[in-house]
Amino acid sequence: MKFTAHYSLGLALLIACGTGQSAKPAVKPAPKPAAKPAPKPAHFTQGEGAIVSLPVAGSVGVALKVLFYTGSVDDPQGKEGLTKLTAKLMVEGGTQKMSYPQMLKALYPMATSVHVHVDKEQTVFSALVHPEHIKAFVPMLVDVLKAPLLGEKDFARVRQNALNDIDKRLKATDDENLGKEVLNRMLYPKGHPYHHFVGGTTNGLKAIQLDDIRAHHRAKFGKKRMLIGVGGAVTPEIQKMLSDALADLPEGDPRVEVLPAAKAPPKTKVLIVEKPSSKSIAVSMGYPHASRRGTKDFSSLALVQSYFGEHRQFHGILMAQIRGLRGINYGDYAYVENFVQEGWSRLPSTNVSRRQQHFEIWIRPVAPKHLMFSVRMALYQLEQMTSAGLTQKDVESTREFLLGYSRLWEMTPMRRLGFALDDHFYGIENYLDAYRAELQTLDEKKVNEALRRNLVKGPINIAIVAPDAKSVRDALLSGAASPIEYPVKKPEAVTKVDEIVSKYPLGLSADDVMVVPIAEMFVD
Amino acid sequence: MSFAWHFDSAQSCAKSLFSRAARLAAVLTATAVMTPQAARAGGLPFSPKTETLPNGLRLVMIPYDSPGLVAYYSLVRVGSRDEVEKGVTGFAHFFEHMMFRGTELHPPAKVSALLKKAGADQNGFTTDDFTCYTFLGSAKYLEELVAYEADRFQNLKYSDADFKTEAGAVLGEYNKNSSRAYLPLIESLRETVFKKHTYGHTTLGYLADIKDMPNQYEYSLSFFKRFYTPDNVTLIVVGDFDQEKLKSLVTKHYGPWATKRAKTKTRAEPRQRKELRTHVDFPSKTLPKLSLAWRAPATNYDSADTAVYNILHELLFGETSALYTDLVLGEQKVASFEDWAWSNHRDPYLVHAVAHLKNKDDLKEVESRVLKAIGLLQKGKIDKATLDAVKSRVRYSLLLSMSTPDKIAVTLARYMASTGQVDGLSRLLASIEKLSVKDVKRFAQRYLKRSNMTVLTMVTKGGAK
Repeated sequence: MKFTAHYSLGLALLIACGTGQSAKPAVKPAPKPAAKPAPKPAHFTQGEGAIVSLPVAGSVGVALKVLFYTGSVDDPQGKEGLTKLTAKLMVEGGTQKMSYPQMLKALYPMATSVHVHVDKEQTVFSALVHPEHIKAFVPMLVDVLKAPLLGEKDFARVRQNALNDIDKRLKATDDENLGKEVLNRMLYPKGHPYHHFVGGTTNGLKAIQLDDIRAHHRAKFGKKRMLIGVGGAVTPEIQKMLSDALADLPEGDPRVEVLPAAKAPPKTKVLIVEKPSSKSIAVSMGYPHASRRGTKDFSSLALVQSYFGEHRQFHGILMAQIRGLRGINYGDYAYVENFVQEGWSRLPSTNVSRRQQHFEIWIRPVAPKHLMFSVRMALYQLEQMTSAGLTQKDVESTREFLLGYSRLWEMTPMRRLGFALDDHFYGIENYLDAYRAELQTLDEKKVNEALRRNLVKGPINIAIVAPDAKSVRDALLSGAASPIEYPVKKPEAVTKVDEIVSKYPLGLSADDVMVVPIAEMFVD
Repeated sequence: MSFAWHFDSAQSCAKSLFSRAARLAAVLTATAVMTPQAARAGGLPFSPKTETLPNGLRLVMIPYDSPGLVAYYSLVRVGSRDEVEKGVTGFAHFFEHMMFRGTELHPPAKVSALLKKAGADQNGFTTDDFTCYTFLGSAKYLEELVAYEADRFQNLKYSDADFKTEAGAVLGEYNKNSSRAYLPLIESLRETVFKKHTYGHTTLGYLADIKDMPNQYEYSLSFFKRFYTPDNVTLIVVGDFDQEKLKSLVTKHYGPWATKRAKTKTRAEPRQRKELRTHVDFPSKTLPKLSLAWRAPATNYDSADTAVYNILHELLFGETSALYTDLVLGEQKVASFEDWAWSNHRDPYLVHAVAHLKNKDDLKEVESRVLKAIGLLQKGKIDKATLDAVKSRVRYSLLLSMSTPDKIAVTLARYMASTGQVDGLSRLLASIEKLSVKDVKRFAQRYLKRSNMTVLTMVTKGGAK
């Protein structure tokens, strides 16, 4: 199954923000709680079949999310991609009661489907269903989770799609996301569970057998890791129907407990992936940090993110400097937590939470002649911000923006449910309200202290996808200035900065710049 | 299809655009609070209130339960279709970028302050037929917003320097899309099919023209004068606001605007008389693609033809269709079918489907199978249950897609744009409800014939699979 039409455009259902109805989710333990786990850090919990219930009066659809604390961190070495492949086969391979075509036929007139999204630490199955169909739909969803067919023919199709996603999409026709994945490999070096692409590696996918899928499903998609989320037009009866049906899901293995901390590189490192067919150059850069939702600095960092590079808005420093004033590319943004855009919107996806977060700068593709200047400009702006900090005025205007803008993040019951499940992940309550409350308490001092504790001007990992790696490498290592030329005369305020930026020292030596041909990426 | 966002999607814009449910989704993404009865009737659950100013500007108002929030969308019926002069392809889109460069009364810093305090998401996008400016944010600042929007539509002012700088951002947008296979495919298809009409180029425009944009400052000024006129603009406002107050604000700020839209002299594309075929080698790895396009009529929401046009992809390639069941799930020759026509067009455009294959050796076979399926439609061999299932899907998708003020606004805008009718979507839904097997048969016979078809194939350059 795939996203239904209403979802493929990033839509969910009714009720905009601020209605005040059932804003706080009720988290109830499962009817039969499993044995108490050993003491863990506050943020670490098993799912244990807990139910997050978030009904919203007046909704036209029932929002369902069944989340497992199972992600690509659960992929065995040499079988990278197993979790995503298992999840995809669960939703795109039919069940023991219904073949996949039969299921499609049943769901088609309902205009719904089971959508699955897999990230590093979680997999979420979601659906938006009209109340008239919910009683027919729930048993199908339950079968997808408890008794998927996992058949040979569907396996071949789904695996081929996964291979094509690496070879024919990521490596071939999607340089922007390729750049981000290259950065991911630098942020989380080989050996870290986040290192490999969630979609797997070519060799990993080829090594997976159907028995691996079946075993992975049994062990990793059990009740111990499961969270049930219901929202929107859900009734107590529907909630009970779903939770009762999933109550006898086998326990399965507990969630991965130990996750090594990732560290910033001791020196700035560059990884150039050479892709001869590219016409422009994709750039991403960043380093891991130790904050996440629920830790003391996070609200300050989230404010800094918006100030420095709010995703696809004009006011961020990077956007204003690189695109607005200089017209170098299409957009330039920054993030302090894993960010996946939801559909066509500019909103952050939910349920991509991670224990280990990182700071990231995304420079959308630039013409080869502007590469050096763009990289230097991003590093210069980062240095400026981390040294000078934000002014009280910066803090206040960004706070004002976020107090309003964050309302857009919770406009639909499905999105609210997503945030509520993320709260469970982080071991916090009602993040968005808490975030807005904390924003009110922030001032220049608090923000800048948090900024300096977490973000540094360097060193940093820089990922570049370029058609001619040698010339990029030579330029990076030469230390030569990279002045920029404009078709018009620029104000002195701009040219003065340009003068500094064009000579901004990168301090790279030959060992710091690595080149990998695209053919060698994501193979193993 | 052609479409360019002011800020493009960070993810796969093309993928979303071309999802095979996309056109249906477009039909489906309408509306606000809808009762099941309203959905069953195929109509909209609300009655937008429309006011027309003496200068021709239309204001469509939809109160909606979104406390404190408002979507304010400005639809301009100008797109790449209107780029009739040589060497200025991509200009409607470029001009959309310039609309964010401020005015004397509203310089960029002032606009930024307004957007920040409103916590707003501001954006814009351009298509073949229209340009849309979007705002979603706090309703508290509606008065300032109306003043700003009215000002930039009447008094936009930018320097040659600003103009040249923004041209760089537009080139950046082209660069951003340049690694994707859809761009050369759609460019080649349009050049093959349209020799006269401006649908022959994409909304992004030709790279050579984009590179020349910095030299077209004077043209940009004339573009603004000709097409940014009150009789060519519809405001669509959805959310939490007082209708009388809004009407009064709009009258005050847009009332003095008194210009008339210039006519666009597009050249009609002569009737296609024979099957056309073309091929594109893509320089990077890609799934082999079979693109099948047929010339289609201009949009008329009251017609059965337009209703069929909007559900045809679902009938032929949808998840329960024979082609999908056999070629995607069974024989696994095809990875996916996608609908690339995207939207209803003002002038005659295309039915356009793309099959992404696993193996280039199957290109002929898949083409033949699709043509056989079309042959069945032409003979009326489609059961009523299948048609009813599609209609049901339309109804329930409508219900479930009711989401937020911005979704309502953008959907209404899209369906207003092709014909200029405020109630375009309602008319289309009514026409879909009335559809019969005979209508589908007639459409297939009239339009889905070989002499009206263009076949384009794309494979990886050098023949690698």
